Amino acid sequence: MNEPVIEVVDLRCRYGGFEAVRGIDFVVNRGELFALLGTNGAGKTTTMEVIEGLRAPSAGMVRVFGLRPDTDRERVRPRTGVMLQESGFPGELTVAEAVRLWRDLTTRPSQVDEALDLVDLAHRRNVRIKSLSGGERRRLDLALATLGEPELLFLDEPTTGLDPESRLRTWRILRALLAKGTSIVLTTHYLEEAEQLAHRIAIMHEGRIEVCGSLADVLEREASRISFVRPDGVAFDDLPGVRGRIDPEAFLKGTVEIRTRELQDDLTVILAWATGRGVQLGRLRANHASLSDVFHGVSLNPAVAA
Amino acid sequence: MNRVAALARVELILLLRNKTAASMALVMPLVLGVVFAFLRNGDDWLAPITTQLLVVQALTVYVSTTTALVARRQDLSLKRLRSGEAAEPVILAGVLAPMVLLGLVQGTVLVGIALVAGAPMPADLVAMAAAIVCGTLVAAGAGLATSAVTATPETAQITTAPLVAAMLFGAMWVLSTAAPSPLRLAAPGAATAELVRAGMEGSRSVLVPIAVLAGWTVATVLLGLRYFRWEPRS
Repeated sequence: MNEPVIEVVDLRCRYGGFEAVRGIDFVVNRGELFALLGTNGAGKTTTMEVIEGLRAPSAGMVRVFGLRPDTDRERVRPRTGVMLQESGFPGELTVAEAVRLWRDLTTRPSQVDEALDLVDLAHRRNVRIKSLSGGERRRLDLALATLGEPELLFLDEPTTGLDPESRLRTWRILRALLAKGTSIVLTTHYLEEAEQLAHRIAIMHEGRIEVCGSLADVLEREASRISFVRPDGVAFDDLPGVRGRIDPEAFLKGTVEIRTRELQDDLTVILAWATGRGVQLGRLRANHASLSDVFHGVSLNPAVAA
Repeated sequence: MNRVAALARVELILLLRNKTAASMALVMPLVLGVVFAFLRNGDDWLAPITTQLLVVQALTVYVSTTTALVARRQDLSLKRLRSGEAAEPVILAGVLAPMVLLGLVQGTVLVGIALVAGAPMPADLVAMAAAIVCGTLVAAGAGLATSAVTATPETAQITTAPLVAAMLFGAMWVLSTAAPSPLRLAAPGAATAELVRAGMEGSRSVLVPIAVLAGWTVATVLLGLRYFRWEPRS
């Protein structure tokens, strides 16, 4: 049974005359990784900061563990871990001093060595933070966010600046936390990260959630695609009638592109037509929509995706 | 309390690792204090001791708290700390605590140096202690309030300068009259100077200057909390 840890209803946030978040609704359940995607300025970080209790909403309701995160912070914070988009620690502190401070501020802290081992920073424990690379700072951030064994973890672009190996390591850490029942809210610009990790995905654009659901649900929003090189001597009208849409502009450029929600049916029609005409279909491809297709669809034309 | 101590310990480490801030907060007030003690006019110890305490409260407490709060806001430490379990007043108390403690210790040490250099024993120790404690607290409150209107640690030198100057002039203004009015005592530095005078001479009322300093402390803290920003303006 789904147990909500976060409930957001008609959330709105204004900065003066600018409405950064324009009435969004979603729920995050226990043990779930919920990915919040969107272009820069879509409202992801503002949404995260409201749920984290760092910012009061202008309107709407936000509940974390059934409590208001901005006013019930004493009861909410011991159960949450936060990794902000930008790390914030004085550069003159060493890695170990920063972790020790955070341990002293946390109700259920892990050991300092354990936390540093987790993110592969044990060998950098006596290095000042100002000397760390961007990726190492993100790993330190992750160590601090997970130090209190949180039930709910907020990760704002956790793998930005990480090398591929560190990114995979972070994914392993997140999977281990999920296996323990930790709920995670993640924002990322890496769509592959959301595809790999998220149970559910929301794509924001200009302050609204345009698409929300499981990866399969989200991909359903965008049509699949069949493409092949236009055979010599074939005119637009020679092509068989398919249930999808043939792109006339691509046709003029020498490619037949069909956007369809009936991939199997339309592919069968195309193959039967080609066989019947004895036509070879060069570079034939048939793909379901990718998360990237949906993301770009939302960014370019939100109303269609919705 | 443990959380305040943890934050204060880190803040002290940072102060000691920043040579400019450390010399401003630790060395400069003590050097100036000793200089004032030896440049006094005859047997007049009131002006040197008042100046010593005000320099400590201005530089070690007021300027340093303003700079520390703005620097922590600038490097996003305050935002990071606020995302954790520590409550907002605990975070602020942790950042301010080292400067307040240093102010108390330095104030006491400088009065001790003055005594060793020949100053008479204060006639009213409670008044002298009140000058050190209340003056330090109002300086910390003023630092909190000034940090709200200070964008960067560098500009803290500019935004704190008017009040530092006002504290020294306010002290001279109040010491220039034998029976200052409550309005005159409300000037920056004036109530502290009046408490030092009460401490040195005895037999003077300390209630009004203490009430003035308590009022200023509450006002500056409330003002600071009302307009305090936890992250840089974007």
